[in-house]
Amino acid sequence: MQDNADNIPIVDFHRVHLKYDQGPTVLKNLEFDLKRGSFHFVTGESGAGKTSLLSLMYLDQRPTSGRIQIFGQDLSQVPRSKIPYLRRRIGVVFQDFRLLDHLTTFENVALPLWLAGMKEAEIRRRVNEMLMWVGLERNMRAYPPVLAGGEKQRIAIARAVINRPDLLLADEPTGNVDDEMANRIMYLFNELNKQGTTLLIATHNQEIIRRNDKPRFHLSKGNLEYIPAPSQMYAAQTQGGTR
Amino acid sequence: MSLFQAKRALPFHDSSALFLSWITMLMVFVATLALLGALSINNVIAIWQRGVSGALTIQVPTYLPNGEARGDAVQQDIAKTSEILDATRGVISYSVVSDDKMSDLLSPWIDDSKAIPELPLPKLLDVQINADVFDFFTLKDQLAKVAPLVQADAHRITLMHLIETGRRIQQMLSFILLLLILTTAFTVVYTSSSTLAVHQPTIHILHMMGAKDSSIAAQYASRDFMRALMGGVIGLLLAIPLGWLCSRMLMPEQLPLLQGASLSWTAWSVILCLPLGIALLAFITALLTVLKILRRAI
Repeated sequence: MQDNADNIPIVDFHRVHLKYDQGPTVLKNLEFDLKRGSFHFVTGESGAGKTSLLSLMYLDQRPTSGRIQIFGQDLSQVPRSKIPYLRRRIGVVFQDFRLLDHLTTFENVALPLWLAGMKEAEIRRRVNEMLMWVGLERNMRAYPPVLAGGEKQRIAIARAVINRPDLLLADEPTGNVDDEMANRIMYLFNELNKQGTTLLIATHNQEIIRRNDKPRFHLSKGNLEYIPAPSQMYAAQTQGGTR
Repeated sequence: MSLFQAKRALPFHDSSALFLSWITMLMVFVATLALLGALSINNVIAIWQRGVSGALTIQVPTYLPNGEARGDAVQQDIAKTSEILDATRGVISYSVVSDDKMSDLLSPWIDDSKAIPELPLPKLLDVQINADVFDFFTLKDQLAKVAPLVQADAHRITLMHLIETGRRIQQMLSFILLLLILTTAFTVVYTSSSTLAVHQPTIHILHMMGAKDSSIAAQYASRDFMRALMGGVIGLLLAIPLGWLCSRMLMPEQLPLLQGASLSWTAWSVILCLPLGIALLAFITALLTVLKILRRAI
């Protein structure tokens, strides 16, 4: 599904605040956008608000104030009946995986396709291919409770990307996997990005950030700071030095 | 077979599954007996009503209880009764049954027809009525005031009391049916609400994956439909033999008044559809309940 105007940001935050009931303000006056096909990291200490930021984007919460536009649509104006269609364009990798324990690995990964009403043959083809890719083809009949943390994380990632979302939000997607699998996952994310998926990945993993030359948002005490990609900074410094 | 045909996205292995089936089995069991009773009574009432509609007989005694002839008082009572009949709503026509006709009516039972005029027979008034507007008890009260010895159809009074009683029993059974329907609906609301609370994390994930409220509600509704249908069929299978046993105990040969209490095919169809009806009620109730609760979420 493509928006008519390619220049409309996939995500657009305007003076967004988020506060939980009587608690402190978690996110303060956020003002940023994500262009179609962009790839950003989100960094920040634990409790800085990374997960809250992502939850606003996958429509799990509404902001206390401010305006959020996703795919050009103001979320405060979107009727409830249209929200599922927006969510189907967003892939989410939750930090705590959020797999359905009563479904097998295969069924968990197939869930977004099934909910979207895809034909069964196509679901089988795509899910088998995806499970091969993340190395879980031998566990396709296994239930999440018997799997290791890293395996659950790979299921969560496979489920998030199976329907080739327009926007992929990942919360610590490499937190429970070894370096080799982390690199595989990042390769998969880069491939999706090349095909047009917009990515926002919250991570603590400095090695991942270092290896992938991408800009990032740094969250600190509810405030968001934009940090360009290392290559952009280098280019800016080089240009500055030349002048 | 579909991936999710046998197993749905929601884990329905909680104790509420058994609870709904048990409750529905009990409801359909009682409802079947109530319906059997209500429909049987309906048939009997229809037959009784045919016996009391259209015509009425009024007796004017010609002799006093001590055997003394009433003489002119008989004609006076007939005149008073005629006046009241003329003024009574719903009386189409009336006539005094002639002695010849009386003899014709009695001759099959009395060998010596010549003795009939000697018998202490009352004078009879044959009254044609419109049963829809005619009020029997008002006529009876008025006759009692002006001509206390005149009697209006004793058999008819018994039948009318029986019809009234039958209708009250029918109303009571209908009320029981209504209570059962409401109880089933409340049970479904309760089980759906409680299982929704248990399944909240799963529903949240499904929502995040793009599930529509209607598809989640449909899963609950389908689950409750199957459970109610299963419980209902068992309840029906248990109730029908008991109903049959009751009908054997109230055999028409022993109680002629209950002749005609057997059920028609239409009535049996209604009874056999009871589990399906209860299951549909469970489906609709679950669907509406879950949709209402889900709409409160973001």
